[in-house]
Amino acid sequence: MKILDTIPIRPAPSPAANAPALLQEIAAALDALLLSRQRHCIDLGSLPLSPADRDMLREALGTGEIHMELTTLGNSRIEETGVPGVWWVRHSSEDGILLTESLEVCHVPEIVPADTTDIAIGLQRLRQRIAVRASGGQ
Amino acid sequence: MSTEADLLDFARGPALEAALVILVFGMFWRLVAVLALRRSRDLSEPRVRHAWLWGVRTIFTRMWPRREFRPRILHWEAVSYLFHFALAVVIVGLVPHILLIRDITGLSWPGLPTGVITFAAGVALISLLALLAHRATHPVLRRISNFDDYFSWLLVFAPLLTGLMAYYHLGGPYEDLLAVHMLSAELLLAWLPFSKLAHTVLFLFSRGVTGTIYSRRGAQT
Amino acid sequence: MDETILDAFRQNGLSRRAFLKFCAATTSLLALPPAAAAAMAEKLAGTLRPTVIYLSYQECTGCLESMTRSFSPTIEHLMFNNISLAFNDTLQAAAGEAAEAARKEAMRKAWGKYILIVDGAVPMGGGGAYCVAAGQSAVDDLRHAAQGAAAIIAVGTCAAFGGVPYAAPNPTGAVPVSEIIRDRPIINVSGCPPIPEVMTGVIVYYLSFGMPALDRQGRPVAFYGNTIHDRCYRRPFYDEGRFAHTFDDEGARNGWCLYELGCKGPVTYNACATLKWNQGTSFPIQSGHGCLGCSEPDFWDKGGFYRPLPAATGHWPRGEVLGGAALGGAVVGVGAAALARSRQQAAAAKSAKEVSHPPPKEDSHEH
Repeated sequence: MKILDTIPIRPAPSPAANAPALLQEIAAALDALLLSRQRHCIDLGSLPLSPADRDMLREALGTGEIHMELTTLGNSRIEETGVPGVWWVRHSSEDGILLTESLEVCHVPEIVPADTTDIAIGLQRLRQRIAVRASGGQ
Repeated sequence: MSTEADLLDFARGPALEAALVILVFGMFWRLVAVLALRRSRDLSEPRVRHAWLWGVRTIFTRMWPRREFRPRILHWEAVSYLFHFALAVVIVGLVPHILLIRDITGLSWPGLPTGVITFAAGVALISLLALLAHRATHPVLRRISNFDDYFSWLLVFAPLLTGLMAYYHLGGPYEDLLAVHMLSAELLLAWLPFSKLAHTVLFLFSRGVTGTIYSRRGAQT
Repeated sequence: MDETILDAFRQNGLSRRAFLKFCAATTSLLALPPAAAAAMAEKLAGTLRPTVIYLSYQECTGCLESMTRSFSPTIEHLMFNNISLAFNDTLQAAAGEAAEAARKEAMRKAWGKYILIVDGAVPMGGGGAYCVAAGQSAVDDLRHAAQGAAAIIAVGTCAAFGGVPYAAPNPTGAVPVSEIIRDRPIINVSGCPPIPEVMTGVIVYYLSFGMPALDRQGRPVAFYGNTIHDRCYRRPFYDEGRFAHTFDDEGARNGWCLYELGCKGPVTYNACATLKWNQGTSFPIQSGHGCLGCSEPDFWDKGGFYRPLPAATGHWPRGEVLGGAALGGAVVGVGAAALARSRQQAAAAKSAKEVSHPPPKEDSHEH
C-alpha cells in the first residue's frame, strides 16, 4: 500500500463547463411544464460533469422538502430539489453501484405513483389475507 | 470484414516495404549513375588551390540569392523556404513519423505537440498552393515546367492533405484516412528518386560540382 | 411461454416500479435520450419473452464469463425476466441427452422467432471435424439453428470476425459466423471479451426497438461508434506530445499517452473508455497498458501488440532488405554510367573528327 501511495495521481483541472447550460435547460423545461404540462428528463450520466459542475448544480438547485427511498432492484433515491418540480433521481443496483442519475422536471416522477395493475395484484393479496383471517387461520 | 484485405494493413505492410525498397534502390541507382559519369579533364591552370573547398562553400552560399537577383526573386524564395521549413517540421516533428523512422532505422528524437504540427502542415499546404499558382502563371516558369513538376507537386501535397484529414477525422473513418495517408506518402517515396524530387539528395552534389569547376576557373560562385 | 416481459417481472414479485427502473438504467447505458425509457417501457411491457438459444463453438468461454459479470442489466434479470434462456451448455443444469432434447424442444416451439447467440468461431477444416458436439459438427449445427432464428447475435471477436482461431496460420480453417450465415440479420458484438453491459444492452435494445444501427463491421453504433483514442482521458497528453516511452519511466508514472508503447486506441472502436470494466472501475489504458484493439478484425495479426501504430507490420529483416536494395541500385547505377560513358566517348570521337574541340558536357542538375 505504501508503494501505491507514492504513485503521483494528477486529477485533471475541472472548471464548471456544463452546469450553466444545464441550468438554462432546466429553466426552459420548467416553463414547458407550466405551460403545457410537458415532462422532461436530463440524463446526467451522458454528460461530462466535473466536480465543479456538480457543486454548481447542487448550489443552484438547493435541497427541497421530499426525500424518497425506493427499494426495488437495489436502492434508488428520489429527492425534490429546492426548485419545486425538479427532481434529482439516482438509481443504484443491488450491489450499490450507481446505474443512472438524472434530473426530472415534472410534478411527480413517473416511477413514484402506484401502478393500477400493481394495485390490483396487491388488492388480491389483501383479500386473500382477509379471507384467511375470517376463516380463523392466522 | 476479415476476409477482405484491410487497407491499413496493406499500407503498413507490403506497400511500405515496397516503397522503401524502391526508394533505396532508386536513390543509389541515380547517385551512382551520376557520380560514375566520365568527367572531362580541365587542362587550364587552376586559379585557386583546393577548388573542392570552394565547391563545399557553394553548397551554402547558394542557399540565398545574390544581391543582384534579390529584388526579382526574393519573395518567392522566401515562400519556398517557408514551405521547405514547414514540411521539415511536419516530417521530423510528428511523433508517429518519428516512430516509423525509429522502426526502420533505429534513430529517434523527441517530437513536437500536435498543435505545432498541424499549424506547420497548414503553412506548408498554403505555401504549396501559392507556389503552384506562381508556376502556372509565371511566363518563363510555366514554359520550363513539365509533367514531373506537377506530378511531384501533387505527391507532396497529397500526404499533407490526407494527414490533416486523418487527424481531424474529415471525410471518412480514421483508419481509412490513415491508410490513404500512408499510401500517398509511400507513392511519394517510390517516385522520389526518379523525379525532380531527387534534389533532396542530389542538390548537394550538383551545387558542389558546379562550385568546384567555376572556382577552379576563378569565377565567383 | 406466452407471458410478456412485464408479466415476468411481476411473476418474480417485482412491481412496475422495478420495471421502470430497469428501463431507465438500460436507456442510460445505451446512451439513448431519456425519453426513450418510456418508449422502451411501453414496448417491453407488451413484448413476449423471447426464447434465446446460446451456442458455443471454437471459444474459451471468456465471453460468457464476462457476460455473467454484467451489472446493468444483470444477467439474472435478463435470464429471469426479459428472455427465456432455453439453452446454454455452460449455465444449464441439464447435460447430455437431456440437454439436447430440451434444446430441440425449445427450438421447435419458437421456430422462426428465437434469438440465436453464437459464441466462438466455426472451424471449416477437415469437414468441420475440429468442433463436434452430440455427433454434429459446429458448421452443420449453426446452419440448422440459424434457419429458425429471427436474428443472430455474434458475441465476441471469434464469432464476429474469427478472432484467435482465425489468426494465422488458422489450422482449423475457422471462419466467423457471417461467412456461413448470409440470410439472417447478424449483430456483431466484438471484443475479447466484449464489455458485459454491451452484450446484455444489445439484447435489451433488440427486444425494445429491433435491429440497432450497425457500423460497417456489423457492430451496434451505440457502443462501437467512437474510437478508444477519441474518448480516452489520456488524449490531451497525445495532443501535447507527452508520451510514456517505456512501461516504467516518468511518463508512464505520470499517466501519459501510451501510443509509443503500441496502444491501438486510434483504430479501435469500442466503449471501454466510457463504460469501462468491472462495474465502471477501470479499463486497460487507465491501468497503464495500451489498447490491444481486441474488438477489431484480425487484431492478432497486426504486427504485434507493443509495436506502435505507425510502425511497419511486417517482420522483415530491415537491414538486409534495404542493404540489398542499395547494392542492387548501385549495380544498376554503374551499368547506367558505363552506358553513358560509352555514349560520351562515341560522341566525343565523332565531334573530334568534325572539329577539334573537347565536347563532353558537365552533368549539372541544379543551378
